[in-house]
Amino acid sequence: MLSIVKSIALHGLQGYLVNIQVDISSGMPSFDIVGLPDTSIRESRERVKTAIRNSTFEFLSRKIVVNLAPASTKKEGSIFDLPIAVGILIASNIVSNTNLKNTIIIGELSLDGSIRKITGILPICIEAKNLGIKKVILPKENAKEACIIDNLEIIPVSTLTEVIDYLNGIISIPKEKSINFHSNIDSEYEFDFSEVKGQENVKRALEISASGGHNCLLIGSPGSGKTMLARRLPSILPDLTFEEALEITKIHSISGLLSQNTPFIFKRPFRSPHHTITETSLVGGGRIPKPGEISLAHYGVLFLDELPEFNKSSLEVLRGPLEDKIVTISRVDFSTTYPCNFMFIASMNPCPCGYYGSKERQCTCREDQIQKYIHKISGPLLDRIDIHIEVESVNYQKLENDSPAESSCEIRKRVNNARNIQLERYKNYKIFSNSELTPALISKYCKLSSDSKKILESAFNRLGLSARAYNRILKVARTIADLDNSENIQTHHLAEAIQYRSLDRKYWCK
Amino acid sequence: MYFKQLTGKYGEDIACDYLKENNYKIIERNFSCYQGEIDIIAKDISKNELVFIEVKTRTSFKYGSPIDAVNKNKQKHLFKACQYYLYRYNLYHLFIRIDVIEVFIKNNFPYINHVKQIL
Repeated sequence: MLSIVKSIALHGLQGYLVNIQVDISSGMPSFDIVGLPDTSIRESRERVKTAIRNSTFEFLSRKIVVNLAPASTKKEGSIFDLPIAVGILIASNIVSNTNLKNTIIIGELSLDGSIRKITGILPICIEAKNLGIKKVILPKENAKEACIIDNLEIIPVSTLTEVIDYLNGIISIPKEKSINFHSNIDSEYEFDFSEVKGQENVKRALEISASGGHNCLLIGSPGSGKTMLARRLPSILPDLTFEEALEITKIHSISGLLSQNTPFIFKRPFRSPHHTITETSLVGGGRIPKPGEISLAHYGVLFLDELPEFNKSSLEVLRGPLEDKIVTISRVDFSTTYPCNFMFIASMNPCPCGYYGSKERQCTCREDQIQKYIHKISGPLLDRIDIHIEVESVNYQKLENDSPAESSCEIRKRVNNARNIQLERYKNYKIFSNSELTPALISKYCKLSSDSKKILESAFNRLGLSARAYNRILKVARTIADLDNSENIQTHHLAEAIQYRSLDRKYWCK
Repeated sequence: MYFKQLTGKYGEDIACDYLKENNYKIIERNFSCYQGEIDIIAKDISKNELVFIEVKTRTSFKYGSPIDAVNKNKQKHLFKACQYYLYRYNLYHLFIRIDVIEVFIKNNFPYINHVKQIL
């Protein structure tokens, strides 16, 4: 007897329909899975066999052939355990309901017949909705994650027996209630900007980069508060839109970073990998490519503390992703593209001893040591950073000063306001912030007055800026104007944007 | 006949009696071919399956339990012999099962353990 059960597999972030065809016939008993399964699927034979037996069903001695169509695509993972088991039970007439045309079944089986959670539920459910599927039977632990998708009946199950009883109509399982995205946004953060005394100029720079999603480099002596400031950045990031949250959650879903307690990402991610990170774990990789840190920081922040300590090759791989906002990882079996539209925040000391240019202490480094240290950051990478800001040490008076600094909540209000202006302006372009502007859009939305043009021209010649830097200055100026609630970019907006680019002259071009 | 062979024969007889009592029809005994030997070929009438049975008889557990003797190599021979049997009598339309029956004889009293579906 033949049975066909539908399921969905993932190729990167993209799901595709897989028909699981099970045929049971006479002949020497065997159990074969065809259709380019990888080892984890081939091993599912034992899991399926044992789970069926331990769920008090009879696993008959038959010739069983399972085909995963389309047979030409390589498939991986343990998500087909449950559909294979259900297919076998349908083909051996244990399940009477064979109308599974609009149903997707996914789940991993344990030997005792209970169903374990899987990764990548969200992209699977999105694809199911696109295919016009009505019902998804999935592991209970994944149900919360899936129910963010509306118009899809989510049936959470925890054992194989439960699935069979449900299909036979013996029991009914209440479908999971969908969650409302907007009522779940919380604004509780561990750290607050009010804890940082002084450093108003740096706070301003971080406010601008948070508003427009611009990259930012903090340079300063040890103990001046670079890391402290960067750690507080998540608390002023603009609220996520539903589309952004969906994209972020998709990536976290396939990386298996979601749990029952956090089934959906409501906050912008903040990733701060240690400087021993390898290229592969930064951009993503593996035989079947998995997303790396830059993709996990999608629509959030990638913070690299002590930038020159990073492996030079790890830093250079950031060049492409920083510009394209996507990364394509090619391996023999698969080639996948992951989005990586992140805010790049880095911090560094100006020299090995850390006190070059400091007012308090004398630098003890030789000139060549400073040059060697500073040039670990290559020109092309530096060119992609919109805002360079010097973090100076805080003096004693400011530390003792008890008057409260501005809290993150107030800053976030301004940031949200500026971001809403951008969302409104770019609603037809599928972009969310100024940092994503294309050259065509720059010429449309970043118009300059003749005075401003003169300033930019002189800065361009004096600072020896690149064409990329020119575009990036315009984008930052646009964000500053948005923070100011200004329709057009004024001269002082542009001037502020230019001064954020002038710092690299001080250190790099001596 | 040697003692070992006698024990084996005795065990197979006991297994046959057991099968007959349990709604099986014995089709052939000691089918032997180049690929190997099948102790009992029977038909499970309630399930409509053709069952190939390997009988293992022991008088002590000194060398492990009887079923431990049906190792990978023995299974391979059994499987090949079953395939030959199906080919010879053209029985591809039947559902097939391969079982092991353990017979343990103690104080002239047999204990039977029927292990179904070993493959």
